[in-house]
Parts: sequence; C-alpha cells; structure tokens
Amino acid sequence: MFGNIPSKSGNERMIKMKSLQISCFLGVILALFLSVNIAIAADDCLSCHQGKTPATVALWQGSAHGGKVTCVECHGSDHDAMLRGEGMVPATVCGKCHEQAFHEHSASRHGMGLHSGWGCTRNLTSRNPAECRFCHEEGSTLPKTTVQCARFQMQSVEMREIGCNRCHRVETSCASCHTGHMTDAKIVRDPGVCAKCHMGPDHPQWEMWQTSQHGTLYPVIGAERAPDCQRCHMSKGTHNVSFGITATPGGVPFPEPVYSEKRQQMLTICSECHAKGLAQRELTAADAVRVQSTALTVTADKIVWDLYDRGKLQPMPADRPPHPLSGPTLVTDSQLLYEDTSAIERLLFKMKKYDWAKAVKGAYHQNPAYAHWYGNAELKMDLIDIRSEAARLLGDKAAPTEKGPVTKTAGIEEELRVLKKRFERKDLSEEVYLREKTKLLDGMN
Amino acid sequence: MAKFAFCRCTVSALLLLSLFTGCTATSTLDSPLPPGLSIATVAEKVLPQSPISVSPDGSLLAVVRRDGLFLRSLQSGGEKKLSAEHPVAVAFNPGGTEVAAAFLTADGSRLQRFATSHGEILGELSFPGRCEALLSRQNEWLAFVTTIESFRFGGNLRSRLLRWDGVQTPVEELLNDVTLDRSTLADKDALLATLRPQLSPHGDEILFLRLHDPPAFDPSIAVGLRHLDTRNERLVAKLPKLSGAASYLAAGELIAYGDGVMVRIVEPWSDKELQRLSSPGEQLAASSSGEILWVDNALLRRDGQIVTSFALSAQPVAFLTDGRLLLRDKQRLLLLSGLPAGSAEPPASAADRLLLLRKWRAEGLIDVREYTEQVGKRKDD
Repeated sequence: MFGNIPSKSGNERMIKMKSLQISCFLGVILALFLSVNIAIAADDCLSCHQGKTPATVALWQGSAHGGKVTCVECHGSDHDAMLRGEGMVPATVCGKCHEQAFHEHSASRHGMGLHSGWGCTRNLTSRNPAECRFCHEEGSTLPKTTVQCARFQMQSVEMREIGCNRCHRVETSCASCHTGHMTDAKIVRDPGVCAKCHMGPDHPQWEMWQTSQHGTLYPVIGAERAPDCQRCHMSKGTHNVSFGITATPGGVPFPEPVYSEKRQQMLTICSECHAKGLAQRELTAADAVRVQSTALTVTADKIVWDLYDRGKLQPMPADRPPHPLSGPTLVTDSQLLYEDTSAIERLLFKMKKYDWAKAVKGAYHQNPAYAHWYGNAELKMDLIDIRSEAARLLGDKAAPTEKGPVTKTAGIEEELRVLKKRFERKDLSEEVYLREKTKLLDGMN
Repeated sequence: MAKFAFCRCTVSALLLLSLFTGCTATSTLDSPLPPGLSIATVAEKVLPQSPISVSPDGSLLAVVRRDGLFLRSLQSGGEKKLSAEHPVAVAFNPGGTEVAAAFLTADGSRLQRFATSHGEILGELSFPGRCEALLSRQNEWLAFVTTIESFRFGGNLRSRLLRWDGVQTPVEELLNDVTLDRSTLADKDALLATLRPQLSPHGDEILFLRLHDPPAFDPSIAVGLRHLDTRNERLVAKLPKLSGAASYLAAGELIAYGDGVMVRIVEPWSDKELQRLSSPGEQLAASSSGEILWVDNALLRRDGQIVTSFALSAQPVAFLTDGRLLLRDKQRLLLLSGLPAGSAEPPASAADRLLLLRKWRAEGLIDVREYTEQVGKRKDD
C-alpha cells in the first residue's frame, strides 16, 4: 500500500517502517539468543560438572540453592580464575541475600579471623597501643590487607594455607562452617563443625565441652535440650559468636559498661537451664581463675624480660633471626613466636598460648580436668621450669669474668640498667624507679 | 679618651722597646702583661700550621720543623729527631712515655708510635682516610679520620674515630656521614680543622662538632658529647654557622662554645647557660681549672676580665696544669707563665668513682641531680 505513493516523503516513511521492522526482528532474535545463552551458561556448568564433580552438583541440587541460585551467581563466570583456585565464594556474596547473618558474623570475632587471631583490643583501656600496627595503618581503622601475624609470616606458603588460613578464613568464607554447597542447617548445628578449629593445644574448647557435663548430656538427651557450642555462643541462631564473651581471647576483660552488658547476655543464656545465681557464681569463679592464671603468666613474662634486660637470653634477639614484625627485639605479647627464640621463651609460649587457655577456657566451659590438670597444674609447673631456666641463665652472674671478678659497682650498674629498661617500657612508675635507684646508689657509699 | 690614648702610647712604646731589646716574645702580645706574668720563646722555626703537642707533665714538646718531626725538652732545649716526614697530627700518651704521629700516605694515613725515651718506633698502623687529629687516653690512641668523596654537586664527608690499643686491629666508629654542598666545601681545610674533636680531661668522652648541610637550608654544626665506653651522645648546642669552636672547662663539667656572636658557657647535662662573653668564639681554649680562657686572641678570667691580649697571628696550643700556657705565633712557640695553677680534677682515689658516675650519667642510668648528689657525697666523706 505504501508502494502506491511514490512520493519522496512516502519512500522515506517506507524506509523508516522497514528499518523499524528489521530492528524489532533483530531485537527479538537478540533477546532469544541471550536468554538461550544464559540458559546455556547454567546448563554449561552442570553439563560438565555432573560428569566431573557429580557429588558437588548433587549437594547443590539437594540444597535450598538448588535450581534457584546458579553456579555463576556465586562463583562468577571466570572459569580460568576458578581453575587457578580463585573460585571461592566470599562472604560478601552470601551477604547480598543473607544480610543479617553477614552483619552479625562481621561484628563477631569470626568476622576478623584473618586479621588477628587475638581480636581487636581497641576497646580496652589497658591495651598496648603499639599493637594496633599489627592490623592497621597509622590513623586508620580499616584492617590491612596483608595478615600481620608473626607466626603466620614465619611459615611456608603451604603451611600458611593449610595450617593458618583454613581456620582464619572464617572471616571471609561462610563455607568455613556451612561447607561448600549444602545449606542444611543440621551441619552447622552440630558442635562438630566448630571442632575443626576450636580444638588442639591452643584452645581446646571442643574437647572441653565434649568431656564436660554439658558435653556428656548432648548424646544422651539430644541436641534439642543439651547445651552445645551453638546454644551458648550462637543463641537463637545469631551469627555473632562473640555474644556474651566478656574478655579478649588474650584474657583482657572489656571495660565497663561493655563487660557488664556482655555478662548479662551470657547469664540470660545460662538462665535458660540454670538458676541465675548459680550461673553468676560459676562465671565469677571462672573470672577468678582467669585472673589467677594471668598472674602466673605475668610473673613468667617479667622473668623473661628481666633476662632480656640483663642480656642473658640464649640467644639474645639480636643474635637470632629478627622477629618478622618487630625486628631484633624481645616480643612476648600476642605476637610471641614458638620458633627462632630462646628455650625460656619457648616455655613462655607454651605457658601463655596453651596452658593459660586450658585453665581459663576450661573454667568457663565447666571442665575440671582441663581447668586444673591440663591448665592450672601445667601453668604452675611451667613457672617452675621458667624460674629454673632463669636461674641457670643467671648462674654465671656472680662468677669471675675474663676481665676479673664482678665488682659491687658492676652489680649496681647492671641493676640500674635493668631499672631503666623497665621504666622505659612503663613497667615501673617514675616514683618507684627513682626510689629503687636511690636505694642502689646509697648502696655504693 | 685621654686614658685610652695613654694606654695606646704605652703599648706602642713597649713594642718599640721590645724591638730594640730583641725580646721578640712581646711582639706576640697585643697589650702589656700584667704583673706576675711572663712570656718566653721556647722554640723557633716551627713549621707554620704544623701540629704541636706537649707532654702531660709539660716537659716535652713534639714539634715539626722543615726537616721533620722533633722531640724537644722544654727544660734543656735539647732536641731529638723522630722522623724526616711532616706529620699532620701528633699526641703524647697520658704517661708521656710515647708520642704518636700521623703522616699522610698515597692511600690514606700512617700512624707511628715512638718511645719518648730513645725515639724508636714502637708500632705502626696504616688506614684509609686523612687523619685530622690524634688524641690519647689510657691504653688507647684515638685518630679522627675524614674521607671526602667529591661529586659534581659537592661531596660526601665521612668522619670516623679510629680507636687503637697499639696492638690489635683498630675499632672504627662513625661520627659523621653527611652530604655537603659545593659552597660548604669551598674552604675544606678550615672546615675540617673546625671539626677536630677534643678529649675530656678525664679521658672518658670527646667533645665533637658534627656538620649538617640539609638541602635548601644553611649548613650548621652540632656540638655534642660522646662517651667513649658507652657511645652515648648528648647534644650540647647547634651552631648556626660553620665557624665556631668549643672547649671543655672546669674538669670537663662545663663546655664553652662560640656561636659566631657570643661565647656561651653551659652545663651540658642540665642545659643551663651559666655565662656569656661578647666575642664570636672562633678560637677557644681553657685552663684545666676553667678559671682562664683564651677567647679570640684574648686571655680572660672567667668573669670576663681581660688578662692580656695577643696578636692575631697567635694561637693557643695547650694550657698546662702548672699554670703555664703554650702558644704559637707563626714559627715561634712561646710559654706564658704565672697564670693560676691548680686543677679541678679529683684526687686519684676518687677518680674511678667519678668516672663511673660520669659513665652512668652519659648512659642515662642516673640523672643530673643524682650525679651531683653522689659526687657531693664523696666529697663529704
């Protein structure tokens, strides 16, 4: 019909109409092609992976994600990256849908597992501000992208991955607890899921719980009523595992009012089964064990620092590979090493990292054997060993040296030097420092 | 005015008289000597700008003449030739039994120890760099050595202290490693002479001058103390210009330094300024008691009163503990006698204790108050 109007304007209109028709046709073709392509993309993973990793596909198909959340949505579409081992699903991807769980997780100790095994101390009035540098750039609250853990840095690439990251990646990987492709809550409601990391010499919470009265009830009365890790530490399904915890992993209590608030949180949980008074007494007793155990490690710490001040460690930090974060100096804080140190520091490591944790966490988990024999007894025996080793190292103090017998003034000089170092690291107040110096100087006359 | 004119006439008359009488020593003086003081020439034909040293008891001189290094008895005037070479630094050991001399070689410096009794060589040490000064303390020779590496923009100065017990391999300590602008290095010799360190009267620390020459800023010199056993340093002052001098006085407990405008006398450990004298302080020396100062060609009492003044060509060599002053004027060495004798040094029995307290103070183990109390306690005993 348009052909009957061979005018210039008619031709133009006809051309326009034809263009429109072609555009519509191409659009439909493109839309069909894209939809087919997307379908191919999803099917593409399955068509191969059903043959190559059938168990994984089956797990996904049987999960809540099966048929709803595609492979690409979580893993992305860069197959080469996946082949390089970079297909792990970060928690931020899960967080797009599981927003609340992600925020609770991020606010907890699990949410900073990659950055510090000991947790942030910024809310502690007694913290050593110098420690901030392990995780933060000067003036920044954002964690550094590189892990500032001396023990991590001492390891081989393989050990870092297998022995460190497999636990500490809990920060960025929900699969750390939930496993890769299943979504069944049964997995994460089983206390065994926590055991992967919360076991062994440095913090055997799983063993403590399992052999405590709480743990023995579990197989008998069942998960519905028995207290397990999740019931006390992930109350009502929260992903904030720090709920109700009153101290840092290093044992430093949070300042008020945070401390009281967190204690009330835990008492509320305990009260689901126990009288509040009983729970209060139990936790207060555990607090006391924590204070007593810390006093033992502080005593040991002072002995080691005194040896350092006197140049008696064998070898001294200047004579061994430098500490990866602090250089050729003594480190006894959370970055204490168990390798490339002196024997007495290795004992201190055992005391602070293993035995203190057993005594204190054993007390909070109501496990008498852990609290006493694995913890308290070991701590006290460690202190005997540390004192004995210190006596050995100091043994030649009064012996004649190559330059002749040690004089009275040489002894005073050494004591003055020790006092100065203690004052400089704020181990002594100015008042005590001046008083002790006066005593020494009076001894000269 | 009339008084001043009279004074000028008197000085002129005296100078004229000295010419007629042949008493050349007085031409070194710029003003008449007050009663009780006398001056006499003790050596002549000494090589200008050459190093000179006097033995601790004031009996021997190490002087350099055109034909080499000589040991000269101040009492008899007798001389012994030690070397035909010209040293760049000389020093006696504390006991006066040895004299060491440093000579420049093609690839650095050579240090030779001579016995003062017979002049034989006791030991020798060669090392890279130019030896600018020699000091000695109990069982140790200290050589101040510099190396200048030249670049298009200027140069790099490294100065170090070479510590030698006379037997074993010497130990080196870096004192200064600084990049210098071309203009700073213009008068290299004068600059290096300024930086020569001094040993404290107790022999336990040095008074050093350290050069700073930051880009886009004027160069400056830091005056500091460095304890030789602990190697702890204390900054005493920062001089805003390159010309300056510093000296120990009062048994090493006070420091005098010139900042180009004033001479300041300070207690270095308490940072207290005790006194100022109106003189640039480009030449400074002090008697061991600290009661007499040589400041820019004038001999002053501590209160600033002028004892006498000298010709511009005169330079102090050393104050002797018996109240004499050895000075040089061109090719002559002169001895000024009659100055107050006495030393502020403690008796030998207290010396070890004092050295220990000084060491603790340098290391920061005791503060100034505690140091003063402990020194005072011993005096009370």
